[in-house]
Amino acid sequence: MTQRDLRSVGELLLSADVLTRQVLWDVSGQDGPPMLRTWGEVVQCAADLWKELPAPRRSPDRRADEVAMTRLESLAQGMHRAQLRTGWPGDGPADERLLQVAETFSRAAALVARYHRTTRPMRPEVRADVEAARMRVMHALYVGAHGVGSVVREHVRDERMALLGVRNQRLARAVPRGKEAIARLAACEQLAGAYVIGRYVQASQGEVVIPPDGVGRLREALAAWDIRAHRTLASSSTPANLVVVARTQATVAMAALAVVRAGAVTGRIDADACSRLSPAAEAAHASWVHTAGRWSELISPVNRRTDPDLLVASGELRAAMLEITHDRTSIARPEVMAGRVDLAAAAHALQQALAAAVDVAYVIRDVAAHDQNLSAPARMISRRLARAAGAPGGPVDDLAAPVSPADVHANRLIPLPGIVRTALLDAGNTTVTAAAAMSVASCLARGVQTNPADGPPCGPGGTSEDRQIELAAPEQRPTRAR
Amino acid sequence: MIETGNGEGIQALATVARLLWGAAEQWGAQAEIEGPLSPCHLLSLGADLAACQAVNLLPDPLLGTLDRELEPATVEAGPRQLLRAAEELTRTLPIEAFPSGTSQVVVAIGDLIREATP
Repeated sequence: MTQRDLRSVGELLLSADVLTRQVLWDVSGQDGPPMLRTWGEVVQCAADLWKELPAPRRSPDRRADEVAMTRLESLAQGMHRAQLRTGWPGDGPADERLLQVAETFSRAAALVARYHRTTRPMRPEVRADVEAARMRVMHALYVGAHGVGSVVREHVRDERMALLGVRNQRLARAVPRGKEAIARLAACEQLAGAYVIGRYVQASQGEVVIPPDGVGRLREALAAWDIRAHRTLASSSTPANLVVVARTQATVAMAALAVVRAGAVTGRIDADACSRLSPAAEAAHASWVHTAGRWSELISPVNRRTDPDLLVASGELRAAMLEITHDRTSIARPEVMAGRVDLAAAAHALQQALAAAVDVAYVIRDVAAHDQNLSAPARMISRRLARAAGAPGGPVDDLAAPVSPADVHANRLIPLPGIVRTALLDAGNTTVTAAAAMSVASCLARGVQTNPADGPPCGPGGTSEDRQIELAAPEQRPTRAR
Repeated sequence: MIETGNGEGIQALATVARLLWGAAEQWGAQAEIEGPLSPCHLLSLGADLAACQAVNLLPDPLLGTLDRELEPATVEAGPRQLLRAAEELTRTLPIEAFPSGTSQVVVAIGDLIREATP
């Protein structure tokens, strides 16, 4: 499924600026050719966006600025022609980060072209915002030109080193052509720098920044997390991934608990609802923590890798919860939380996530029950079996097949014995029960607060959306019979 | 995946991952004692995610070294100190010495230090 890009022009430009800064960090000489192939597209897309932005007021001292982008564009076109003529760096992959910058500029240009109305005179604050947008575009090119130039310089140095004592025509061609590209990129950097230097801070102050909507970020992070967790579990249900899923779900339950309690204290959430939801959230939290602990025992050095997309989704959700529930190193006071977001809305979003967690809990339990490829480090299994041997009623069949000392010494992954699988299943069952209880508690909380006119009660006839808690503030709810 | 960074940088990143895991474990244990509303839950998850990010950048042969125990003195210093030790380690070498993508781990550690500082 293709996700729609909902970012504003300002957010897109900020993103392009940040992406070009990344070009200064994680690059090496071998990124030179892909970056050179992509740089022209970046400048072209930036120039297209520049043309769409409303023109600045004409003044004699700004004339040089007005043509800065035209000069950058012709420089980049010259580079492109030189690349075609000389066949260097030739065909090959593009640089993904620069490609993303170019796409971001194109998207911003499309948004400006679609929504900008030229018939109205611009207000001063709009003019300042446009100036800030121009500055962001130019700053991205300034930083990008410097980054690409540095990488190409490193690439040329590598090629020159490789040439020592070797006769290779391809390498011999690369050095002078690389130097030519470096000179052109230096010119780009100077042109963009002349626009930016001395004015960047002042222009940036005119940028209109819409304050972040805490609940909006939380909602998006929860939805993205839910989708990512399901996808990862469907494609790669390794212990390392399952642990991240379980630990993240535990923190969602923790955040729900903190938000519901803060909501009850500040009057944003009904006290009855809080008293029903709190124990269920606590139980859900404890069961997810327990599940994470059980699965973490299965992680060994060789199966430690985690799905990078899952880490990103979990990290974003963690950040979204942190900015609501935490104040430095402690949980924020209820009034502080209430000042940040609408606690009823935040609790509503978290409740939806906890309801969806029932499915995740089932998936994890099914992995424990049916995945025949599950394995665990020999040392952990050996310790488990030793503990079980000391306990009354320990499983005899597993004890009859002790772990080989060689496996223990090398801590190899060996097939999961019944005792460990049973522990995983028990943890999974507890989590399923706790997650389902959380869902039921939500239904009961709704029943306590709402009258029949508000909608169908939770039950077989109700949809999943009907099963959400009614957590609106008392003053927002319909008044009861007078 | 193109492997970048030199041997020293890759070894240092493996130690960073172990330090981060150490911090995650200690915060996790503290959270377990303090209960479900402990602020340490999110710190523990954050350190764990940063450790996973670091591990994903390590070459396969080095994964086996991640089981090595940390120095007892380092462990006893507490999770914040482990985090600081990880951050200091990332500063001992230039960024080019680390595998490509390490800058994101450095940023994550910096964020965690900020979050964990009273």
